[in-house]
Amino acid sequence: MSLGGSPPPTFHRGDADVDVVVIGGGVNGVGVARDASMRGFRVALFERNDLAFGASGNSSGMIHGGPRYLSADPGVTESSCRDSGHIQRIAPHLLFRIPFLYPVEKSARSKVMLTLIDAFFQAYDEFQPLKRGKPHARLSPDEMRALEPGIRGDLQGGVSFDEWGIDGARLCVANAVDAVERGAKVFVGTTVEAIERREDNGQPVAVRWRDLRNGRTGRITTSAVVNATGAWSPITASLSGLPAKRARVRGGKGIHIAYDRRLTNYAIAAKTIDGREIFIEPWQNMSVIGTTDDDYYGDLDDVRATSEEVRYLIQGIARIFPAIQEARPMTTWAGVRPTLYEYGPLEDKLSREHEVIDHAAHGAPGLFSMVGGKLASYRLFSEEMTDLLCTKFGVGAPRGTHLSPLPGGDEEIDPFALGESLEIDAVAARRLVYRHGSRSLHIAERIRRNPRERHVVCACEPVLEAEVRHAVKEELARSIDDVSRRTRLGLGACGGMRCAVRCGQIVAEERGLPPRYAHEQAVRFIVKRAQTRVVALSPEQARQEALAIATLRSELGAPPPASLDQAESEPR
Amino acid sequence: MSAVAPSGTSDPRGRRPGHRVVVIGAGWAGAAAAFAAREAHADVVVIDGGVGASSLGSGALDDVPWDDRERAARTLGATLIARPDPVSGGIATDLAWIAGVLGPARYAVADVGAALPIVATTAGRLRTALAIDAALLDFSALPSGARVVVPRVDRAGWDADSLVRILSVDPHAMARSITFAACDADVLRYDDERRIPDADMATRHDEDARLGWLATQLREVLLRAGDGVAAILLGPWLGVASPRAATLGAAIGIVMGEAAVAMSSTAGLRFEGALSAAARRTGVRMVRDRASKVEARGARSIVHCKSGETIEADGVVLALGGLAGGGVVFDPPEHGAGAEGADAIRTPFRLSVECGVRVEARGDVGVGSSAFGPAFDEAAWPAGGVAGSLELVGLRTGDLRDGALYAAGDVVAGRARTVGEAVAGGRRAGTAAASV
Repeated sequence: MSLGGSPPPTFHRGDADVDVVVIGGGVNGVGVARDASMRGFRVALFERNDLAFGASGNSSGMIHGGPRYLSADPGVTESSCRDSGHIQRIAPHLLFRIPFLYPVEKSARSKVMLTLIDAFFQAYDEFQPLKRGKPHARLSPDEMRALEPGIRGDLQGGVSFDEWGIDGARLCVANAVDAVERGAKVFVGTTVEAIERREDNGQPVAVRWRDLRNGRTGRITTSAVVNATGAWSPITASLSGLPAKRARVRGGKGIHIAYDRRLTNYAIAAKTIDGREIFIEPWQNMSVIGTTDDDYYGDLDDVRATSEEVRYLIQGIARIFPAIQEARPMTTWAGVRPTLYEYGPLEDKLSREHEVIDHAAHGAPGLFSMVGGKLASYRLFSEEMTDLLCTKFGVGAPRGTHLSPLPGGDEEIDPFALGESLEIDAVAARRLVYRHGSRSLHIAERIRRNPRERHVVCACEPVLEAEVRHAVKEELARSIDDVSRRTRLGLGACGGMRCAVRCGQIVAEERGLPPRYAHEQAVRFIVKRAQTRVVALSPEQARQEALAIATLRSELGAPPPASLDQAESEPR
Repeated sequence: MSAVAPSGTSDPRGRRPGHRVVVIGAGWAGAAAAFAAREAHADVVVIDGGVGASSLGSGALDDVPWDDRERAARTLGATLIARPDPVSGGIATDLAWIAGVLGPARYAVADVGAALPIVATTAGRLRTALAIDAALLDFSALPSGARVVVPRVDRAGWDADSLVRILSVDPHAMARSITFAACDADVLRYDDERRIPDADMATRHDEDARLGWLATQLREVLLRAGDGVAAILLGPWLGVASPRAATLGAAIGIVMGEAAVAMSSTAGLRFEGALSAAARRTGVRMVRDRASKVEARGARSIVHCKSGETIEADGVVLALGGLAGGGVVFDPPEHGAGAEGADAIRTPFRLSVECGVRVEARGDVGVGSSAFGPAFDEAAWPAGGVAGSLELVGLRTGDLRDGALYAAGDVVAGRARTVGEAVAGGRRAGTAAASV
């Protein structure tokens, strides 16, 4: 310490209201909140929208090993595979196998291509044991068609390989709930408006926050701030007075289209007209097509798929799986990847590595930005971030997020026995157990206390009344949209016509809000869902839309103008 | 087979009868067209491919979208009464006419100048209508300060406590000082009734003995609820063959009625029943078939059906319904096109019946100049009083073959999708088709 220089930053636990403020409720933010809480830090997390609102809840729903990174970034592939194995251990209920087929079309070089691809997946096989994956197989055209009768085209052959699916929103919620149970404070719907820093050495001392739904504001003191806001990172950095470029990311928009039911036995890789790799995957009870990767310059709070993007993806899938043209799309979603910044390369060529930026180098010691990364390696990324916090604070707490189960991941539950004991439909019970693991017993307990709660609110998914109440009480849901993100309520073909109002009533009731709030929320939810559907309209769905509009008009009245729709105020 | 034509012909598909009107579609518009043509002494055949959007109607019948009217009334400080203006006054007359044709005690229509009926939706709103299915509870008829009991019933779509909370703060209830109370009730007779659809529940109450049992149970509810109860609000369970609310109410000595529901409504089923009965009564011939094509043959038209039958007509009324009802079909060329994409680029909407009439799609959902189909990104849904393009799409009446083809109801482009519009348009079309 030299006289006249700025004093060094101080990191003592207990000095402030909390030790660490985490900004961002995506998978990395909740991952750090959980890890830091496990290691004894007092943590507050602020999320502007909802948990998993951004890229985490709008991904392809895979914790895949990333074979596409294998040649350029083998490190990403290895760490992804290793961490995929860890996630399977701590949240086994959320994982499901997605076997892939990779067809190779006949062309002048296709024989060589197939051999190269075969060799490539041989290399990928080395990583498969890390995630309990099965080794690849080389397949003849007939074998491909036998496995997946919908495949068309003149094939040279192909390979199979093995990946894992996951519900990204559930993963975020599980991490957040665990953090809360370990003492963290998690504020959703609450934006950070300023990161206050000391004038002498630039260390953060507090953040000022505003609850976006009721306008309440406050200030919380802290010694460190973690910016885990994904595509919002440069905006968040600006709140501290740092130049936005200090936490720059290259936002890449990716969209997905979800179809009613599982259309294929396997996920199938395909190529777009410009040669990009896309896929159709059976995912939970639907089929999902993904994805695009385009530089994004729009509003991050309102990212939507467009008809153009939808057509581009369908064109690519139709080449290998033409039946897609007759299938019924039910919804689309879109997110923006917070890719590491680089000027020049095409979007697909950007690195999927992640990086912790220590802003000490920019005169802001104690402020950190997490940029880049992918769903599959969130735990590792969060661990690296928390390791750095431990170093700064001089804490020697052991790592444990790879061993300690997430909420619901500690015990296997038999859905059929559960369904019978609660007198609920077996499918409803199975879905419940998928989403909640052993925590489905908490929901069962609710139903035993009040049997009315076993009624189905959303028949498409299906979602029970008890689960909606649980999402509000235990999982930080504050709106129909939040409940939908946690339970997939309202995402079926009916577009929420049967469930939005009922769900809104329950949310209002559980939160002590006036009952009229249910109607406003329901209309907003229904219209928002519709906007995500109509960009991929099929004949059946078009009729369903017209019916939904008529129903809305009859039961609730037509939606208000878009300008009113933006105002999301609720009474204090 | 009933004899229908004034000439006494018994087979409309056989010998050439007198002046024949074929109505394609058996919803509100088709019904109005058929009865109007019959009143003008035409030989009327309705091709009934199943009731479309009308069977999903809530039983609350509007002339203009009810929330538009209520918003306008709030802005102008006006009271909500059936108005004698050229638009709604005319439609009220048409609704009263068809209510008369469909039979007594099935629909209640507001007289011009009288207060509009008010019904509760199962979503928990009180809303006005120009006319209502007689099974629905009319709140406008309750005295100021009335107390309404909502029985607790163990069914998914019916949470009495929630309904009571939300209806209690509804502006219409507050303006009339109507209060609500949830009350325990034992109105499910069999265990399956916790799960069966509303329509099946309603069917059980068609039976007199069962209705009597329900009355006994509801008397218990009244005892439990104490004095001063003016009405009981039930789910859409009060009969399918006919509205049973009045009978039930008379048995208990209190006003009784259903809440309205749009999707899977029992009011829609009651409409179907009323239509069939009225058709039998008035000599309108209903043919269970689907029209596939209407062709001109001289001054007459030939209607081809899916079954292979053909029917000759002097006038044809297209009352096919809109996109929701199935009269307008979204049929984008890329649908089912396979790997190479669509062979031909054409307009993505068509009528479900081929009759040489173009479909008009407003805004950015027409054929436009996209080779990959229409873009629905913004305009598909209604917003702020502006109708959505998916509700406006329909045929251009200007393209109809003069003197032979008429259209009514949701199949017509750009009109409000209300029962009142359908009935008024159907009545006009039926009368015109009968007098060619």
